[in-house]
Amino acid sequence: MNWLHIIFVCEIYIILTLSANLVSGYTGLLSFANAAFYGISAYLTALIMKNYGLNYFFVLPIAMFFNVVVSLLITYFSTKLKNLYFIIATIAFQIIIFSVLYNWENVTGGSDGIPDIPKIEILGNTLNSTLDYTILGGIFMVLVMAFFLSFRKTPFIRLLECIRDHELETISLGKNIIYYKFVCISISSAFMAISGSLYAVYNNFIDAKSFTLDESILIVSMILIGGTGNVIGPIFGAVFFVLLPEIIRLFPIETSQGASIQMIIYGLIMILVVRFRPNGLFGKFRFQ
Amino acid sequence: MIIEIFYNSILSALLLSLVAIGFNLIFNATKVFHLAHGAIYIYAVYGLFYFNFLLVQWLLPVMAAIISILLSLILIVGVILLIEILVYRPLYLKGTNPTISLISSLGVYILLINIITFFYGNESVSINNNFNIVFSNQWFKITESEFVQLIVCGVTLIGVFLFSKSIYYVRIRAIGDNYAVAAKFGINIQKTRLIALVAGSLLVGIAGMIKGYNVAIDPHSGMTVTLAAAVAVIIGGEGSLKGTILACLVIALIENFSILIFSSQWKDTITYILLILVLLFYHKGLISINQRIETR
Repeated sequence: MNWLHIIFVCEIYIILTLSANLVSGYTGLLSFANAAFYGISAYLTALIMKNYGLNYFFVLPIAMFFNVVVSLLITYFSTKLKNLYFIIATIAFQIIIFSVLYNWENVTGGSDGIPDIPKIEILGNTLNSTLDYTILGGIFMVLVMAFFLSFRKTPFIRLLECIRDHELETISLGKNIIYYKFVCISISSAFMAISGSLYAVYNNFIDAKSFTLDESILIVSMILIGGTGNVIGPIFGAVFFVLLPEIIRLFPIETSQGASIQMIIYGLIMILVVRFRPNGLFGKFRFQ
Repeated sequence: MIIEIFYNSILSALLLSLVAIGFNLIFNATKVFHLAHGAIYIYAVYGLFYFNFLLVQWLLPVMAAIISILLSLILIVGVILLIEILVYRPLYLKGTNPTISLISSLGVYILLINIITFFYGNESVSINNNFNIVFSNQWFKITESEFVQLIVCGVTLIGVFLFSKSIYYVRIRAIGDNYAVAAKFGINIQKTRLIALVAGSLLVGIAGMIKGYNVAIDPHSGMTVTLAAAVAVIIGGEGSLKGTILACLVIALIENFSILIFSSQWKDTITYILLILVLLFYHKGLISINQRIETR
């Protein structure tokens, strides 16, 4: 068992769930388009680094900016659609993005994916080992966590919670909720770009199968089980979901059956959490 | 060419409309975005496959087929009753909202599908492998499985039409409009929910069996089927069966004719772009039922 690899995957998912939690937990817009942003940034990083040979630390801001531009569409959905219809629109968006990544063969390589993505270079040293990436991912994760921890008591977050709980009242207080939704969705999608680009350079190879609707469902269930609207919940959810397959692997079961058992446990947990603890294990907020 | 595409569109529209009408009935009555609908679809296929495999050793093929169809219908009714009693009804009694029920429905879907993959693995199953041609002329030909599909879908749609004229469908629409008022007028809400769930599941089960008779089905295709049905329900306008059928036809025509312009892998993309456009700009759907302004 490669513990460094597992820690790296944990770090990626913690960044993803924390940023998804800003939209779903604090603002109450349950979005199933998370894997789309994760995927877009991974592909963008891979394409730019491979074709133009730019340094990773130049590519990352570009990927973040591009994600923000694409997320304008989600902001537009959030202003026009509510609850269930917003969710359906984000599901549709996710499927469209997956389909573009999978089928646009000239650019994304279609089902073959993109192989041979260059590794990160820092001051002439190439990062090769898993340990390097675990440390880099750890630095990013700590930065993102610090951002959210320092962010959680600010007036901005209070306003997002206000939009979540009483949208109409917030409007009547004269707040421009479209602006706040835009900022929150932009921050979230920009942070997802960190995960996506790290994943692409770490793996050396990406294909669209990693960014399906199932991936979005996984991220959403991580948030729901840990609990929405705070920092510890998503972190717990991410760690739990990454470690669960490893725990199952300790038992003597065939690999394919182990995967099924893992999914059965996910399904059961989702049903039970929604039924008996709708706030999640650490959450403050339940979906209205 | 055009006639062939048109014919294929009608075939896929018929099949999709069975799934979508089932989804519509359930969504209307329970307000649950029933993602587990796709799991029921898969259970029908696997049930038919498994029972047929067991029975064909003992009985004549025709008898085995008929009995296994009945058995798998009973299986899916059992599954949907379990889902309602264990998951949906407690949530409804607790007073829930569409988002929460969507998540629990997603949980049910993941659970049910992976119970199947635990026992059968991820390989796809198919029931029938012969493609005898029943009718052919210079423009198009009808294979045996397509013939079965046309007949069964036609009969089922007539059944749906009769059902939509019955008191049960009126009750489903009543509780879909307003639970509290419907209960005051003496409608048994729990029973009506059950009727809607069972009727919807039978429809999707029939669709699954026809599809399984035609092509190989893998256990993870359930989600795509449900989402396609949901798209049809939303585009057609919720609460309207005519709208759903019309939307199925529109979707099938657009998907099949788009092959003339784009390659076939973009079919899904076009459908979902259509869904987003309908959601954003034409929220009522193709055929909508008049409502009070504040309930829209």
